[in-house]
Amino acid sequence: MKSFLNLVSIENFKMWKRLSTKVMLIVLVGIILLAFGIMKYYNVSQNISTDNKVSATWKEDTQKQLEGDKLALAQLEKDTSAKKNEQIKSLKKAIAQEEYIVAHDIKPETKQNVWSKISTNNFSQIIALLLIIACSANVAGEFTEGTMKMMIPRPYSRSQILTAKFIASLFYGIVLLGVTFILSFLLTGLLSGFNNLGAKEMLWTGSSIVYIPAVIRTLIIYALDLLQILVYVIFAFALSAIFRSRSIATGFSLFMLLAGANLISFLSSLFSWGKFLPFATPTLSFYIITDIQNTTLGFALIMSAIYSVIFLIAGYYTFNKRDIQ
Amino acid sequence: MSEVVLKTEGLKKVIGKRTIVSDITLELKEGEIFGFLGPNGAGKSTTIKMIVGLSSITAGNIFISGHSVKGDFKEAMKNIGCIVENPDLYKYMSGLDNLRVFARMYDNVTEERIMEVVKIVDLEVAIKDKVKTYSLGMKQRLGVAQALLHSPKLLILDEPTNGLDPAGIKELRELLRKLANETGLAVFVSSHILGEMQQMCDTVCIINKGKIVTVKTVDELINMAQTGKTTSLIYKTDNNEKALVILNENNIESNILGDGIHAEVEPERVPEIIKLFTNANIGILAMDKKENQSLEDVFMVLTGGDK
Repeated sequence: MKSFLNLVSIENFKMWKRLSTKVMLIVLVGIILLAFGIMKYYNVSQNISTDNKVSATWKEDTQKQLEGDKLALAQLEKDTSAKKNEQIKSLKKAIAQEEYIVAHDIKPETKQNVWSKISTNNFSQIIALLLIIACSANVAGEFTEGTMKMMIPRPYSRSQILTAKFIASLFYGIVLLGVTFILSFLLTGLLSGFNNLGAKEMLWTGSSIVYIPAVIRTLIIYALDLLQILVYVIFAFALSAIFRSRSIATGFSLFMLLAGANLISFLSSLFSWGKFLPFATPTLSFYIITDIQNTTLGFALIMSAIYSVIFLIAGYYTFNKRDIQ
Repeated sequence: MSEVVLKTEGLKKVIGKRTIVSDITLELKEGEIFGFLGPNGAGKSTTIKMIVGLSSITAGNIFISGHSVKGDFKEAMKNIGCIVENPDLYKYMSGLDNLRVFARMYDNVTEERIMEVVKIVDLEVAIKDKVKTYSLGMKQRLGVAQALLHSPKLLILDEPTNGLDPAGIKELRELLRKLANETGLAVFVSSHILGEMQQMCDTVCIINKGKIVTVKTVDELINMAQTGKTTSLIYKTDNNEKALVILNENNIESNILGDGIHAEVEPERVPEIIKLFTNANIGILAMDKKENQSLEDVFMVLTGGDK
């Protein structure tokens, strides 16, 4: 075990010695700074207030809204035409939230809390992109540069070498996500104040409302983003081990990230079995952030896990079996 | 009794329906420098790749200091240092960082040992520069350094003289000889150039079309080259024309080429020729044995290269 950890630290050392590893981190920081700067400039120049106006009669208003929504839901449920499914789900979520507000007397906040602001800034796509490049360099890059044949004749099994590379790549992903989180927190706080650090928020679990600290909700979103990124990294990792070409691994994985997943998602909506395709389920954190989805978060997690395991088995099998040229 | 460091038994590699090598049975003892000689495509690299675990073994087995590459890969690899094909190292790192990376893959390779190896291969000046600035010769030496770090019992070098200048080849030869004599390191060197092997190795194995043609000591090979009773000699004298006439008068097959008179002589007639020359007042400037060329001939015959 000690020698395996040693191997992980060797891979980590090699990864950070590569110039692109450092450059990509700097690029990420640059993009985040730029995004926050533009947002702040826009808000200031357009005189947009980020505060919510809370009327004195907020409770009565919510009550009225709740009754209206219930009526609308009853109407929809009588209707038998297609396409109403999502509307029904969306209304159910709204009703559940409104009922919760009325029952537990939750007054809306005048200032949006720091945590929920962080969770709405989504940099996970960029992190996934950078991580795919890094992971392909770690695995396929060694084939392309010819150094893999220097790595194999050592007192380690091939699986150990591949696993060490995977863990080093994951470590880089955690660094990128951590930097994003800390930077977002600091910038949000500096630009619009560290408001309501102890605020609580409602989280829709798909069937009911739970009322949890906003910081937990944001951490859950980040964790889901990490899992989502993990699926793409495993995909890039498997392609690297199978095709041994940095360009193929990077190219295919980036295509899947930027276009392929949307394409499959669209195709899957045409067939009842479509949801079982790889990359067909929506981005995991969308289940919490946005409206109601056709599938549950649990289903999406299971599908992602199944496909990740398939990718990993394919990657490890080829890496262990094939001769190194 | 010196220890057997490398032993292969009936090694075979089949890719698809093509048999790349078969029946490779070898033995290499400590302190021995073993030449693995054959034309391009003979199966040298394939054999080496099976020994170091880059290629799977179709049939047969390999033992390194008694550890099977198939069954006990990690222990076997602890005793091997190698360069396969080109010395591809991490170009974006310094030579020293490269060595540190490889050193950490073994137990007990200290920073002092790294510097000791750097000194052995004479790379002290450039060791902190990035590898992408290195010449091919420097990369070869860095490759040798990484292979020596963990003091292996077996050093495998695949065409190590590629890209080295004559001085570099000589240095490498002396280094290998020194390591073999002083530390008992067994060295397995592949090459397609016979002359190099002859100067570097104790034993030479000639391989062609995936099969071992012959395993002989260098002396045995040289004796094989001297087929029949005559030796090819090259004379340089202060009067080549007159010398040629004398040789022809005495029924010695000879002719003048650019570098002197080439003569086919039975060894016992050599003193006679010298006497003839001296009596005719011809000064002998030099007398060489033409063995290199004849070794090439043996090689060509054995590998069927003359067809």
